[in-house]
Amino acid sequence: MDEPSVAAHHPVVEETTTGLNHRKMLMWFFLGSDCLFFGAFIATYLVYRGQSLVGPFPKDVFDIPTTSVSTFALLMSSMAMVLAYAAINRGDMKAFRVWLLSTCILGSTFLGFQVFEFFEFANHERVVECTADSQVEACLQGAHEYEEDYGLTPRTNLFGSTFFTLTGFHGAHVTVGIIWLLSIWGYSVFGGRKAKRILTDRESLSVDLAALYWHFVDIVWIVIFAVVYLIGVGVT
Amino acid sequence: MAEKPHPRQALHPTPLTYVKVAATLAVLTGLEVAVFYIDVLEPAFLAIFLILSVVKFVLVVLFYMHLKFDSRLFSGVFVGGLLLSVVVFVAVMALFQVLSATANPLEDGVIVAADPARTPTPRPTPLPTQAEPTRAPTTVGATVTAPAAQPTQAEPQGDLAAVGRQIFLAAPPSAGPQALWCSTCHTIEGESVGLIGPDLTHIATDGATRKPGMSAAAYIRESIDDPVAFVPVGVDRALAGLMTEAIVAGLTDGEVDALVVFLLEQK
Repeated sequence: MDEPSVAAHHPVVEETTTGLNHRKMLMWFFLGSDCLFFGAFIATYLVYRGQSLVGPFPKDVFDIPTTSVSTFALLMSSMAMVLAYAAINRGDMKAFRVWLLSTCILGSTFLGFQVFEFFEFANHERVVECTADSQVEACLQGAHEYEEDYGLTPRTNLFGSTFFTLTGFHGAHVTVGIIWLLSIWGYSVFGGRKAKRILTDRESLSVDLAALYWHFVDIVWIVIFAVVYLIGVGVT
Repeated sequence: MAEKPHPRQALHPTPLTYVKVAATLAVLTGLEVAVFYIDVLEPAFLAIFLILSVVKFVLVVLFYMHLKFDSRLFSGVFVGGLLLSVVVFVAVMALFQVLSATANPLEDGVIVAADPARTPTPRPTPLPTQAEPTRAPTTVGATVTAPAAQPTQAEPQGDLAAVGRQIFLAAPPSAGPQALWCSTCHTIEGESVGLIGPDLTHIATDGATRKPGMSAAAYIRESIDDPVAFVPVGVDRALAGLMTEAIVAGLTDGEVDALVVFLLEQK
């Protein structure tokens, strides 16, 4: 109990060589390695940026205002998560349940936006001007322009492949996080006294580990939003 | 279990701190989006977005993931992985010269019904124009008028071939240093060295024999318009597929004509 360095956050000395909980250490190792996972996909996206031979290109499909809203939802879910974490640390189960459920709802909002975005991209259309020798029906009937399919899928071009792989894996992380958090929430609601005792125990890492994972998913999106969306469209 | 109050415990953030961090994150995100719409700042976009996202990243890690208040060992493990990924990232960027790459010329331009992949690209050399073009230009807003496919009068054939040569050899400046061009892949002895596509040194002679009943001029034109329409023996079909429509995007019909005239001189 007298070694400050080993008992920083949880003032419980673990009986391990490091004095730190192995599960938590494992989680940090996982998050550190997940940085490499996402770093590789972001690098790949940038390497192939501007190399697509056919459209749609980022500026054709990206809608920054919409993505800003979903980004905001994910950021706020992180706040809800940390407030849930603070609540459980002071033994306030009621506030904990409210904030944890808020986290799940905000996370699902983000995911909903992503599903919407993927469908929008896949079903994107563009306006094409008619010319003298256009053989398209609408043009032959005298229209000045018409809409044609201009959808983006993983097999359309390099942009589609790299974009969907990166954001798809991020979305999968978010999905796993929501399932994880929902199961903790369900346990706290339906688990009775035992759940309360386990979750509010100082040694319990149940919430801590899920929270670390959730915040990590958030910081990955902070980078994706800046690099893939803002820099992807704004920087030429 | 009796515990002494821990010295670092006092630093443990309160919910108010968490809310303040959230407000900062929201403001920084708003700032990012606002900056995105200020065209004047475009030269600084890369720096601004990188700095803002790094600040947000660090805030979440320090406060929400409470690394600031946790064991240094956890920080070491995480930052170690993070730094490793940054090193790999920078190495990949350097390897593929991403930082020196320029904009994709295919991403700009007017969309045209006749051929959506084609976009007009301004070219330094003006093409000779004819009083009565026999083919209507297919690109809206094209800067050149299409000359006749087969000029019959005393047309400046030599000039047209010179223009075609220029088109063959060099991408327009707007396409950037890494743009793919004819001479990237095709060899014409004395002109270019390309190892990917077929050798075009004698294309005017060879072209006449490729497809029965098809002149060299018609064959060359077809091969530019649709590279896989006929793939000669000894050429990998997949390689012909590489020369997609998009690679000749940016060529107007007039420029294709010039290119054909130039290639017909390669006997």
